[in-house]
Amino acid sequence: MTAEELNKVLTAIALVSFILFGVFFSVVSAVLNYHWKKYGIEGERIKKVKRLYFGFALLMGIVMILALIVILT
Amino acid sequence: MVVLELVPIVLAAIFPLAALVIGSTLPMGETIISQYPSFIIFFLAAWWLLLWSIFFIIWTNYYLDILVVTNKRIIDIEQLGLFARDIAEVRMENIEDVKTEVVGIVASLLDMGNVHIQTAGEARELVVKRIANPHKVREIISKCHDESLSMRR
Repeated sequence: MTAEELNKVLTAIALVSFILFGVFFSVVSAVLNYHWKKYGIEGERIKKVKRLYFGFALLMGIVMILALIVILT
Repeated sequence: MVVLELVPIVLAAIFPLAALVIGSTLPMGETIISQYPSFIIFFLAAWWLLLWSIFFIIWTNYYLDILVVTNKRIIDIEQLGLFARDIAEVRMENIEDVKTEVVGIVASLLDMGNVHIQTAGEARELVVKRIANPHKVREIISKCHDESLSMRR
């Protein structure tokens, strides 16, 4: 396999995994958010946990998108 | 005990970084890292995002296990994964005996254990598993049980 072909395969894998990760993360986040909202008993703590969870996820999401843009261009 | 469940997640998060450090010392590894830095950053971020989600699934599973003790009843809510929830309730007047069980070095060091609540009811025994400060929990249950008995007299 040439370097160009490998590049194409890796690009395709990155694109597919970006979509799959997006779907997986959305579903898991929705389920976790539902549980925290419905069954969580400490409002303030849950708020902090949500901020932490979505904050880091947003950071990783931005890194993934930027890396994907670089890969595609 | 949730700490022990989270150890593999932490190790899995560190593993790719260690692999990159070791790989960069090898001639072929250095070439791959310098040729595909965007791919490495992308898959590293994706891997950490996946682990981050799993970490919070485990934490939520632990956090939503709740034991409520009042002078009338004990309610044990156990989250058995994201889509299963078990709720057991015991009335104070049905409690016959409460015992704690701390087994192993790790459990002793972390002060974790099981609390067995024996009842006169149909279920006979309610076991609250892997709870922090089991001896203190037993004391609280006994105190509430005594209060419940004195209220009935």
